[in-house]
Amino acid sequence: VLKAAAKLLAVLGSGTAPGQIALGAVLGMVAGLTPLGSAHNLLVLLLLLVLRANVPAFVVVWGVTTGLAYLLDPAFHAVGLALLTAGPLEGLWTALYNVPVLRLTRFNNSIVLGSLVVSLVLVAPAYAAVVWGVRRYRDRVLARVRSLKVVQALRASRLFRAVRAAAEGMEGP
Amino acid sequence: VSLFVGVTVLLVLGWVLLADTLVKRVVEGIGTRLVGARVELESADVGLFPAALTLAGLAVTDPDAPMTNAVEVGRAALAVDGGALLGARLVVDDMRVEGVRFGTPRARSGALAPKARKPDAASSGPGLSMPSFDLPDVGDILRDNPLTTVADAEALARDARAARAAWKERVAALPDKEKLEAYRERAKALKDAKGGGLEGLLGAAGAARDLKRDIDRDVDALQSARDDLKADLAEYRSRAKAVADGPAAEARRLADRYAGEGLAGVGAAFLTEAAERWVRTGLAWYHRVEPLVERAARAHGDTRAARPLRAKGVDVRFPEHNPRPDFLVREAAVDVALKGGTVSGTVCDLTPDPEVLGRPLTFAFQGARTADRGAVNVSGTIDRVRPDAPKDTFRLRLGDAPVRDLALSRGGAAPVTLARARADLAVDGSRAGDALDVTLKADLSGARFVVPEAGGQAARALGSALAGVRETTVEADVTGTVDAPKVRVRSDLDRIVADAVRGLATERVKALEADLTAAIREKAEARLADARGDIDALDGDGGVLGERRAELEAVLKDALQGATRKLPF
Repeated sequence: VLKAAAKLLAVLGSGTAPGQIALGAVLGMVAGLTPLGSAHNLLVLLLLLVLRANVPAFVVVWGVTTGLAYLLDPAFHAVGLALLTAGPLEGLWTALYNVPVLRLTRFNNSIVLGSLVVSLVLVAPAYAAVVWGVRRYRDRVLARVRSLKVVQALRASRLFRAVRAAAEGMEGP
Repeated sequence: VSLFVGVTVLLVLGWVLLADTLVKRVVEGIGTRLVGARVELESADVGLFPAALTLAGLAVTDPDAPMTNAVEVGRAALAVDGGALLGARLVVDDMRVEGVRFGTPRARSGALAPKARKPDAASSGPGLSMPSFDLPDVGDILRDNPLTTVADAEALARDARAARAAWKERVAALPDKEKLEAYRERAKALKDAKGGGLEGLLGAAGAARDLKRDIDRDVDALQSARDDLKADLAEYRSRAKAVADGPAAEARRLADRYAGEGLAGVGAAFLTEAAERWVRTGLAWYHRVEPLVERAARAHGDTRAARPLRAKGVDVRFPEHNPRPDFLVREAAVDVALKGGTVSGTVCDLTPDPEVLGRPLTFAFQGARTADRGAVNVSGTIDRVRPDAPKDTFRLRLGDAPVRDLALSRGGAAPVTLARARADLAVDGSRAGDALDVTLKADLSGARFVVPEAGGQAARALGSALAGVRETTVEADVTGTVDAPKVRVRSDLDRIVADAVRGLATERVKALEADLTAAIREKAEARLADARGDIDALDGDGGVLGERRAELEAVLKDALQGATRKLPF
């Protein structure tokens, strides 16, 4: 994750589209907040690769949110259990429960459902926030940082070039 | 897309390569957690087409004896319903379990780390302690027991005192000296009367007749009172004698009782200890197996939330159109290798969701009698179809089974071992709710009990008594609840052993009896002395009554003689 963080910093300074970075971040958030073994994470992985989302952003956010998920488990459990036991939704859950393949998704688990719903609710605002944040970083912070002599010296070093090359390789197919 | 396909292929390959190890770890982890001791598996082989699983070399450590495997399974082959796997269900249509053995030795300890190992009641036990014959203190016995002798002495003293007062009043109402003197005066007047012709004679005769009638009446009254007093005296003297003899009799009764209490159940003690140990062990395994056949669940109307594990969430179950358990072994054919031959049987409908399946777990095993083993027949049900009302049954029959070196009492002053016997055993048990109802009957023949003589005099007496026992019957009842069973054992060994051991206590019992006699006598003596004083006083009253009667009769005789002399014929 640390290596990916370094690469992410490089990506932030590159020409990668903010939307790609944000997409990688929100997919990482969904995968991180929900239990790793959940079947829907295969779909997340597919989207990550098909939509050319930024992989370092995915890895970094996944690492951070996985740790966060342990702390949020009680909240996810409460949300999931409330949804699963909500009277108006019982017909929906019962119908889904009777589709054999859907049971493989473990949607009837309180933490799986709670974390998935919370993370899906957060997808849109998180996406917008990341796009806004990347643009703001590039407009205000990056220009100032690059003007520093120390940074200019660093950017001229071999190490920086090597890291940048690696980061560009991880931006997606 | 190619990267995705590559990753997916890698995942599938990883699964295929690692599935066996994964299953092995899962079986070992879940088994160890359930049993509380190490569960090990040599290998697992997962097959996808058709779905199947083969486990080899399963060893379940006995948590009470970590160097022994409680169960060892040579090979278990499971045919899995592949369609059910798509519905996240593991349904084993057919299961073959071979090479099941019990109590096999382990090369290394299967105990978990000490902090994880809970102390198990089944492994504890003080061993059989022989009766010490420490009879209770005399003072304690007298304090704890109302003494009938003392109570009788008090009642006698009270009654004698009351009788004396009553007799005092009655004697006062009887003819006394004053009345006797009046009779003498009348007799004297009769004698001194001068003749007055026929009229005078007739008058004297009439006076004599009146005097006689009065004196006779008083004599009768005195005689009657004297008779009554005699009867009372006889009764009180009899009671006084009973009270005087009471301490010895009561002391004997108390000494026998306390000696009897000290020796009661000596015969059954080691049998009870063994039965309690076996019941504890059996229930401990029963509790370990329970999670396999029931799942903690709480209802949400028609939905159910199960498996509330920390950081795992809960799986909420919804009504199914075609309800099926998440895990089910429809039928498992099991071959158990015992000394003397194989016992085969089946276990049907093993599932943690019996309420979904609607059928209880059933099992039945049979083994024919061989040269080294008796006939075995075991069957039962574990019914959790209604999780709130467990209903289990168990039936075991052993016919002419050889028993060797069975430790009945492991420690204490007299470890008892049943070195050999042949046993006919019948066990019938049931559980309804939490209530247990188990009966056991064992007929032993050709028995040989061994008690090491190192246990001392009592152990030698026990060993000597058991040495002659070749046949015996043991019956046991287990009642109470699954968490607090009560075991009651009966056997003709009770009497045999108790008789032998009781002989050792004779001297102490006699000493206790003498001390008790002296102590009771001392307590009763003061009351008895009071009573005797009153009885003697009553006896004195009887003497007075006799004297008065004699005096009255003398007066009457004298008067009658005087009157007779005056008659002219």
